[in-house]
Amino acid sequence: MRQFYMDTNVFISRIKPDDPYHSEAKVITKSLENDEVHAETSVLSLLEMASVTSRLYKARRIRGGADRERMAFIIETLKRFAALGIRFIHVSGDSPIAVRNIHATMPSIFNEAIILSLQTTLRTFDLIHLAAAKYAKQTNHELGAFVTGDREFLSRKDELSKIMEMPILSPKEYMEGLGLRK
Amino acid sequence: MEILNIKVEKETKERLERLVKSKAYKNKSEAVRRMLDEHFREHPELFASDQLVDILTEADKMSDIEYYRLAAEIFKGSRTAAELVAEGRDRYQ
Repeated sequence: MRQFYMDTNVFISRIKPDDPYHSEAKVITKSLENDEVHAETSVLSLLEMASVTSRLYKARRIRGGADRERMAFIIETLKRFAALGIRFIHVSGDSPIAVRNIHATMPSIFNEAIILSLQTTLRTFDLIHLAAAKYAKQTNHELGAFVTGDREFLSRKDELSKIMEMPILSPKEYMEGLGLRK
Repeated sequence: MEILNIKVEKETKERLERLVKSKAYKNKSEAVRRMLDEHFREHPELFASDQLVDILTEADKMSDIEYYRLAAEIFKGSRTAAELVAEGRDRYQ
C-alpha cells in the first residue's frame, strides 16, 4: 500500500490550508518527498491542476489577476506537483472501436473509459481517471489504493474498488492505514 | 529610430505608394512601421517562447514561503479541494 494512485485533489488539499484534508495531505506529500511512499496519477491531473489554479487565480484577482504572474504561479504549481516524484500515467496509442456500425479510432484511454461507462455511471473526466487507475493497477500490482478526497468516489467506494481492484481511501484513511503521523 | 533596409515585391511597393497618396500614411516608412507594430500587437504568440522564458524565470524566483502564502490566498474558501477539482469534472456546479 506504499504505492497509491493519487487523485488531483490531494495535492490541492496540501496547498489549501483551510481544506478538511490539509494536514493529512501534508503528511502524504512529505512522505512522497522523503521517498517513503510512491504515487501514480493520470496526466489528466496536470491539466486539472493547471485549470483549477488558473480559474481561481483569475477569480480572486490576485495581484490584479495579471496574466504574467498567473502563468508563473501555474507553472510553479505544476513544478511542485511533479517534484513529488509522481509517475504520470499516459496510456499511449490509439485503439479501434468497431461495434456494429460504429467504426472509429480513438485514444486508448477513451476506449477504456467507454468500456467503464458500461459498468458505472461516472462523468467523463472521472471515467478517464478511473481508466488510468485501472491501467496503472494492471501495470503495477503494487499499487495499493486510490486516494481521493472526492465525496462521490468515496461514497461509491465498494462499487469502484471492485472495478479498479484496489480500495478507495480518503487521505485520512490512507495515512492511518500506513501508520503515518501528523 | 533605427533604419531598416528591406526588399519588397514591386506590387507591394506600389500598394504602399497608393496608401501614401491617399493620405492613409504620411510616407512609406510610417506605413510599414505601423503595419509591423499592429501585426506584433495582434500576434503575441510570435514571441511566446521569449515570454515563456521570462515566466519560467519568475516562477523559479518564488520562495517556499511566498508560494504557500499565495496558494493559501488563491485556494481559500468554503469549497474543498475535492469540490474545486470536481467543478472542472462537470460536477458541483
